[in-house]
Amino acid sequence: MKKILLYILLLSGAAVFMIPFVWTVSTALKTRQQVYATPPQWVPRTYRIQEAGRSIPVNVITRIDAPAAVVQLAGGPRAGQVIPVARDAIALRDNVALVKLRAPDPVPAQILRDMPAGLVQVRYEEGGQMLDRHVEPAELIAVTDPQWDNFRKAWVPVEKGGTLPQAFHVYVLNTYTITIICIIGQTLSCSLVAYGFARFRFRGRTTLFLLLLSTMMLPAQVTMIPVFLIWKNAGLVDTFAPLTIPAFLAHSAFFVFLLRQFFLTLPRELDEAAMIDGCGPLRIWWQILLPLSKPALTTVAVLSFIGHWDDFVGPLIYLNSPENYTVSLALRLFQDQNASEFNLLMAAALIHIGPVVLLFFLAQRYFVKGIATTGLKA
Amino acid sequence: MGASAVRRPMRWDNWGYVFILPWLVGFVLLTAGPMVASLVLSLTDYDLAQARFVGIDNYAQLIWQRNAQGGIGDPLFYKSLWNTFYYTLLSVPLGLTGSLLLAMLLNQKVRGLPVFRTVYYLPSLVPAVASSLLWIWILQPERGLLNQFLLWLFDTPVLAWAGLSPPAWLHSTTWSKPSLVLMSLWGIGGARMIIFLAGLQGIGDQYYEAATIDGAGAWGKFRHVTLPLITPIIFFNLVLGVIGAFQTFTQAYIMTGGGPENSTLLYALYLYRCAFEWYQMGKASALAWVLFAILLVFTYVQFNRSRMWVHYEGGAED
Repeated sequence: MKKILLYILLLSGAAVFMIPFVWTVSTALKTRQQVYATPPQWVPRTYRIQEAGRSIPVNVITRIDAPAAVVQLAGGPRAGQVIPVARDAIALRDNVALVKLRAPDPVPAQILRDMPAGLVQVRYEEGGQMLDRHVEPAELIAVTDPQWDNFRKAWVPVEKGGTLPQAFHVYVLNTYTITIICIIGQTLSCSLVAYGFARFRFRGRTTLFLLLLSTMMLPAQVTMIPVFLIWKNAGLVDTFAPLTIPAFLAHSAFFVFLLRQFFLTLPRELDEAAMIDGCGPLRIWWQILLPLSKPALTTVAVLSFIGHWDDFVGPLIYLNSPENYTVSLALRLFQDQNASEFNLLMAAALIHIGPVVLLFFLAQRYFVKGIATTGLKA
Repeated sequence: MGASAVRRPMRWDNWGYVFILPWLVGFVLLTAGPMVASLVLSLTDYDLAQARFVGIDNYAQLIWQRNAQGGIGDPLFYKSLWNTFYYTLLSVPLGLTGSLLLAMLLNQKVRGLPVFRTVYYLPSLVPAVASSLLWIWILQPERGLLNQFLLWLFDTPVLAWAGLSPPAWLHSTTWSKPSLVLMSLWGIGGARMIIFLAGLQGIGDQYYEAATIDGAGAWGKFRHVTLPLITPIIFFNLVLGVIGAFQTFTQAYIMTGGGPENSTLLYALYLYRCAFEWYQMGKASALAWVLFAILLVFTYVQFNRSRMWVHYEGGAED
């Protein structure tokens, strides 16, 4: 009994957590009309009707829930207009139909045709004109027609019918360049510093290590402006330098901490044996510790990838020209230019999400391991 | 720490300085130096062209000087501070509770656990820009999924009679901040939850066995075994959670740009605007130091108060 309740909780929670993803994928594969359809469609469909042996694509406008009629108004301020009216709102008096509108007095009108409940109003284009028709639901042919083209539209540059100044692969390539340089920089520098803290008892070590840990609590805003001014004066704004060089200076206290914790679990006898064999300290790091630390290094690499792939503030501050943009900046630009095109926006967002999710499935255990280390004590 | 008793010659241990050198250089150039520079900048009026020393004017204008409207201080500063407090006070406790509950659910022995863990973890992996776009669409007032769902749920005459309609979320000054909180709750299965989970898995069975012998029920076990033993983790998540929430930026920047009527102008967004849109580097630096001071006070208070409720197994150790 308790187990069943548990499963119900877990499953319903999981459904709630997954819905935004499903909705995003569904939206990304819709046409513009489908995006705005009520009720929302989970599996995007388009509809066609057969007319004179031809299959015509139509937009479903609404479903007639109650008996109604199409009338032509013969009086009032909107005289001459053809509108659909609910059957309830029509009263017949002396063979003249009186239609109750919002105006206080009923308006005379001519009934053009009756619409029994259950009909569906559709609209389609013919000869450059938009035509409305009411059809039986059975006449509608549903076609599942995912709009894969949305991804192409989101991807291609403006001269090929897209909206961004560059094709998306330019931004993907920029982001990968930054990310890979940072991964190399961070794994090397952080493991070197971690090695220093884990294996050598120099004066001031504890103080320096506490100083390093305390930088984790420092809000980035405190250093953001002077650091920006440094890069600006060095003429390196709008290059990848401000985003990559800090990675080589062990500019991540967490990674140093994580690697130090890992090195502490490796027996010192290994270093000592290597030392006796004549290994210098640098070779001990490179040839003994690093090969044994592959799980920890992978964790750092994976977390570093996520951090840089996601980063928005850094690129926002330092990159100005669209050709240098990262994916997150490109997505922001894309949002500016397609504010209400949710199908395209969701397709573009999926381009951003894809690689992270893929990496997660390839390296799942390293995520969990690395993060779990954070909470454990020094 | 596995310290060996062998006393090595001093020169060997001095290699440590060489290895931590990258960090030392980075610390001086990217942290300590800029901190000093930022403090100095906060005493100037600097628009990237010329700097003028103004003493504590930036702080005075932010906090206590009479402004042009006759009020005290910078209205946007106070507004952004209020918004940020609101967001933090709502999102951190809700998020912590959610993460802990989720961790407890995932700490049960059920089938398909890896699948569940993945499902709950994935949202926290979605890049902030992408998840902001997702939520703009979900929270869209007329066609968004959430309001379509609410309308379907409450599609009754009662609702119409009471004149109730679903909120306009990001477009409403009342609901814009709760919207950001709601969105942040999508990520409760992330790092915080995994840290909780690791903590829960670290609690030895002997504690629960002892509690069972003492006649404790499920609630008693939670209240007297689980909760006390994970207080260090709650504390850790609380401190880092507040520091993180206070710096929330991307969501507000992408989703609302601070609107409507500055109702989502979070502190970090205001600071960014001052610095990189209006080039008021002095004022922005002052804002950064006020933020730092607030977080320091908060962290200090938390550390002090933690003695009353955080239990470290086996007493305090270093």
